[in-house]
Amino acid sequence: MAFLFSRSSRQKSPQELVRSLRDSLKKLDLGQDKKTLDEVTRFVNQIKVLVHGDGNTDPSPDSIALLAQEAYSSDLLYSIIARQTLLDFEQRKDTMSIFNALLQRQIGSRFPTVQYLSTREPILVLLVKGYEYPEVAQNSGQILRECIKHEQLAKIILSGDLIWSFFEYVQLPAFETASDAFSTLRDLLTRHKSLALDFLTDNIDKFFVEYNRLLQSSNYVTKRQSIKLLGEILLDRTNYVIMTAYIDSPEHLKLIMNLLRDKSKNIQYESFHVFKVFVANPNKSKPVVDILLKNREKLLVFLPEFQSDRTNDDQFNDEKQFLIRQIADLKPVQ
Amino acid sequence: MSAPSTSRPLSADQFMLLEQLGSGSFGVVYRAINKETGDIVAIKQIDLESSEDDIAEIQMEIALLSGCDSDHVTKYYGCFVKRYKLWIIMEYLAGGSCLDLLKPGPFNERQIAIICKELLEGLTYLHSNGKIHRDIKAANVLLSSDGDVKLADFGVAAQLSNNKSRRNTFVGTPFWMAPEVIRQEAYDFKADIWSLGITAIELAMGEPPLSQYHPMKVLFLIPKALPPALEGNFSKEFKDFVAHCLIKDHRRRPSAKQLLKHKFFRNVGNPIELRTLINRKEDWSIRRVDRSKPKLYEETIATMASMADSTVDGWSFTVDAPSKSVQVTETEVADEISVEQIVQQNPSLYRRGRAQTYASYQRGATAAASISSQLGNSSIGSSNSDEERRRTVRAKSLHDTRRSVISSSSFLRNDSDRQRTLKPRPQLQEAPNATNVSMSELASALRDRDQPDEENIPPSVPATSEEQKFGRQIYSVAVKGVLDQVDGKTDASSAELEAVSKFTNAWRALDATCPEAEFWILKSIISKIEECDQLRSVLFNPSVTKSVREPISKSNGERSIASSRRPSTASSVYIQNESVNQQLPPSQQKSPIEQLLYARWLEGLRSR
Repeated sequence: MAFLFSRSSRQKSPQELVRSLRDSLKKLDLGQDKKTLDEVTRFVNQIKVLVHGDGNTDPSPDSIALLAQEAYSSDLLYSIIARQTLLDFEQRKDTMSIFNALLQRQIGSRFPTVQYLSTREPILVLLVKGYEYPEVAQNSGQILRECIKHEQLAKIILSGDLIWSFFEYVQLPAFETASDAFSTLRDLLTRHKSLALDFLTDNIDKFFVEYNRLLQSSNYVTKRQSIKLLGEILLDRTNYVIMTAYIDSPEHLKLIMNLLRDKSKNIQYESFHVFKVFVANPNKSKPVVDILLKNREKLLVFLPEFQSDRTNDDQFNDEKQFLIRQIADLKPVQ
Repeated sequence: MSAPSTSRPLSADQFMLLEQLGSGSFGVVYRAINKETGDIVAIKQIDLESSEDDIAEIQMEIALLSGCDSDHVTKYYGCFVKRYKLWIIMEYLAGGSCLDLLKPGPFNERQIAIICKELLEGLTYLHSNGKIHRDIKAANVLLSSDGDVKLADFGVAAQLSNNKSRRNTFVGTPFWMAPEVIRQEAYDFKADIWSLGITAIELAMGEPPLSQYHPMKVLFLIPKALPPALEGNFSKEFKDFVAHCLIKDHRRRPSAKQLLKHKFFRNVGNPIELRTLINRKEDWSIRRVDRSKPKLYEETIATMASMADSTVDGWSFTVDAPSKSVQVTETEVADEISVEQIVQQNPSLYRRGRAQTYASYQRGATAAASISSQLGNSSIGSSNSDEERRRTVRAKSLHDTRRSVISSSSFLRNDSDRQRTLKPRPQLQEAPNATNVSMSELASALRDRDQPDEENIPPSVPATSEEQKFGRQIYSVAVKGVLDQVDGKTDASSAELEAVSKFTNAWRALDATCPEAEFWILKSIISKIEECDQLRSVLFNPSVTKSVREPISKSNGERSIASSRRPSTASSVYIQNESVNQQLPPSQQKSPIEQLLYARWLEGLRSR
């Protein structure tokens, strides 16, 4: 086969390049010998010039169209993602940049690669699984976030089981992997509002069981990021159904009240913004009122002192005063 | 330990911290030893609990750093969280920063050439990977013990999604910031080239240009003034190199790759020669008998809010009523009303949630804009999409300024720390007081520059005498319009702009407090001029006037009158030439910072 890849005088066509790259990627499964890796680099560099231009000349739309078409029919994108761990540092970046360039390709209002990906779920599965490999996590995370900017791809992740693995990934010990996964989770839950609401509504019990684990994580970063995101989700008007369900539950109230007393000031502050919704609710459930009443004296000592150094935050102080009044005037539910 | 990714998570037990290398807004950097391999590393510790940065931003910095594998960029080995601190493990560079090495005195031209060439290699790598450093300065250039030159501190660096995208965030350190970054136009890799030019001057002179001014003032001078130039006893090649880096129009400014071919680097030396700089610094430190002992690492006991523990001893949750299952059913429609009640009763509760959504929307919008601009360029390429892009950029710039001003407040609190980098802030909710500090500082910077604002200019005395009335008349008829016009000038050196602004302010003050003196001064000047035949013929004969250039207009024949900073007052006195106005880039007509000041001021009024 070697003669096929020797430097020929003729420039390879876009289709040939795509097929050559896919074939040499497949050869990596047999062993990562230097020759195959060099081949990959060579094809990758040529494709990169096709899609990005070489700095002086702009890429030709025709070649990109040919390249994209061949990439879909030869399943190049799957080959790229499936072999990330076999590639070296620069190759991972470069192959991902080719993936990204194709992803962003647009014809009118149509994104052909997005349409293609919505029929090739295994590629999205592999992208999500990328979080399990520290060396590829950030590259695939970046691409994944580009993918879920498109609602149809976000929907695939939210409607299957894939979403639940994020609750593991965000607690991984490697900071960069965990916080990258968290960014993706945040995007999934906030970017497409009605999609996210559908997901939350369909899975409300399971979601909060999983989410409450994050709120109680021993990892400071996980805890802090998840309490903040919880506030954002609940205070988003789109999610009012979710919020009312959430603030009816005494279990959630207990958890949030414990977070109010967390050692971290940031976590305290973020949980205040969830706690305030429980107290401000004019139709509190009986169990919620019971807990608040049971702790009324303590809360009336605790709240005036709570983050009292935030003297410049008028809104926070107003809200605090409001909560103190509400709790002081609280009547038992019959 | 192989860069840049690690097969196994690093942990704190692996490292023994030695002395502190430096500290700043970002945290503290220690020299440390990896007990397992014996390698010396640098560890940057960021206190996440007290850091102003959002965790997502720190994550960005790490993503950028870990995406680099170059001999010209400080190597990243990994990071982890221990309690509230994020530990970032990086390559240790014994030579220190160029800013430290500058302490004994400026570098010579040969040394600067080596450093610039190495930096250009580093920038070529970064730029070809779609990264903009955005904070190139001597303090961020580190040397290894062998003189290898490396770029460090990616605290404000940006990743572009492809080589066509642009940025418009207001970040960097004022003295080194490119004009297009300050103006918040769409900018790209070329911003780093400008900063490199400023850094070259810094290495040659010991300080960046304009260092005599307050950093906030510099933000107004850089976009307005002619670019700084390298002056003094340096070669033609060096001066030309700096001049190329400091071309104000970033489209005409050469790229890193192009600059590597500049003749300044024709006989460039080997980085190993830079060891003399390291030795020089060591000698200098010894001679200064530096009595300050190295700071050793001490495990700090986080003094987190223990207030809660002291006042209340835990909640009582013993009442466990049968917990209602959390479920959304149609029978609970009534709850929707209750939510509306919550909102009605406490609209402020929702404010925060909304602000955050807005912020994330903004982020989304930028990303979308960058994609659309790229597509606009490659496939459609119509002027329509170009205009679209400009609009998005403008719309966003104000938002970004607001964030950056907030962050700059901390930098203003400590005036001595002029090297501080401006960063965009993630949220507005933090420290509203800080905003005020920075706003007043910014306002004073503006005022010093050219704003005849009420606080600075004394209140007008009423004109009663004839002289006072004439003085006022002279001012409103002749002087005011001219001052406004002169104030709006660009294309002059910073020193000239400063002198003009002092003069115009002085005159405004004179008119306000002492119009009779104004009258007498002008009267005497005119009579003196009339006594001198030559001056009289020049000043009162229009045909001669044409050949005499206005003092600070150095551009071609056309009168480059930038639109006045206060169009309303100016237009009443001085009608501007329309064609002149059209030639100005829109950014000069109203600076984003001025817009911001105005918006802030309005906001302040409303809240009162």
